[in-house]
Amino acid sequence: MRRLAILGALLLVSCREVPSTHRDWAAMDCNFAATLHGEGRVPPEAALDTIQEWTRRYDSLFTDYDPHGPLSILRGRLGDTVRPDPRIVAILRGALPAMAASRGSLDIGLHDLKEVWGLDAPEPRLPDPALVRRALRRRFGTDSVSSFRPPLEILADGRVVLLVDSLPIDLGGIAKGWVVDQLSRKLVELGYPVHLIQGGGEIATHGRKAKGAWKLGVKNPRATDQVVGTIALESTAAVSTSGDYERFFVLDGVRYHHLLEPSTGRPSRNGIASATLRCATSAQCDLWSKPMFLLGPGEGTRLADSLGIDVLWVRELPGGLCGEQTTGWKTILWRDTLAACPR
Amino acid sequence: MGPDGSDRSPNRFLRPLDVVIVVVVTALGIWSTARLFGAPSGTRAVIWVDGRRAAWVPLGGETSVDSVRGTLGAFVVEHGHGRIRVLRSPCPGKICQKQGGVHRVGDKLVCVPSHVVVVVESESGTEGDLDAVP
Repeated sequence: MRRLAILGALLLVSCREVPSTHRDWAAMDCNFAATLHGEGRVPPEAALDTIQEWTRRYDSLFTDYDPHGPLSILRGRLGDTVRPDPRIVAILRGALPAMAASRGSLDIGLHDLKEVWGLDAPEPRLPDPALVRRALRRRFGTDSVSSFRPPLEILADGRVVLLVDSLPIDLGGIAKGWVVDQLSRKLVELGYPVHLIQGGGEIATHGRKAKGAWKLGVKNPRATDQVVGTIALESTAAVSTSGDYERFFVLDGVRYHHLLEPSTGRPSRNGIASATLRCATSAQCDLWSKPMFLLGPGEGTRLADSLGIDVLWVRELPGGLCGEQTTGWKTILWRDTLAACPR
Repeated sequence: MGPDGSDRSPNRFLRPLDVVIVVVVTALGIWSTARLFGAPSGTRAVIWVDGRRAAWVPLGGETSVDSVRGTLGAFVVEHGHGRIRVLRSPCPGKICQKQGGVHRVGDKLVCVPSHVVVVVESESGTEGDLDAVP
């Protein structure tokens, strides 16, 4: 009888719900959210206060709105050698190899081009082609880009040599993933090894929930209140999506979105509606989600396999959506509704 | 007529138990599909301002309008008939206004410059079936 009582008590303890604490906030031009499971060395609300404050600080470090902010040091004259904040250098060190390996699909020197397209304007419209050409010339020295040219070089001691004159550098597309990784490390330090952090389209999961795997949805690019599939992550991983539904306008039946092809200065028209990646870190996902969207499964599969990234591409065909994926994607796929794309 | 004289030809009509089985199987199919891929609809939305809960508004019932003060000024939402949308926002791009109505658990409307985030929830929690959707 006594053994039964002990067993019952143990069962009750093991079935006890692990408390979770959730918060949403706005920072770095997007929505951040965090869910902490369990209780750590500090109360969960205090841990959330800490990482929210961190996003505010990173916001002012990486912003390109402030013409005198820390990033402006990179907007110097051709040949200048400058010493940016080490955190900026850390992101640049990840970005330059990705820019080269993606043959320029990722480019941190396209701030002007994004401004020309003005997708966030209240009444977006097609830009003047002359302005698009001017933005490309400013970045690449020509309006017909045939090969990748880095805008800067990083020296071993952390100094940076500027290879393009007065070029604004834009880390908006790649800093969030790095920030999410930093927040995740901080939460572990504060005693929260089981957590989920979202920064815009970047998600990092850490540890394993008592209830089981983390379940993440893949948005339907043409009905964003629905999902086309669900993946299950057993522990620490990162996921991100680049989609043509995030910032766009439609004119004469054509969708103009924010994923600009550096070689043409125009939104990609390769038929891909979204690319969702599973990576080891959020920084890696953030660097590679746009290139994977632009490259598509043809070239993207080879690159993804070499980088250890799993990818699902959702393609739009006249008859509806279909999916193409790397081999590794199938190992995390829990449910999906997408038909395979015709070969 | 069978060899033993009994009439064993199949009944042209479904028997009551068959009808029950068909209804149950169909309902289970619809329910599981909706659960897995439709994602549950929310019952309320929480409005966060600068990381603090500023208001909860119901999504059910008749349409009504509520306002919270974001860091840039008044942020006005319309909620009811199962959905919520932004009516007026002080954010320059008006991206959250253009987004239209949302209803699924986890759906978000975000006005970054004013530090306002609206998240659709169910009464039982914020997660629904999914932990997040990137």
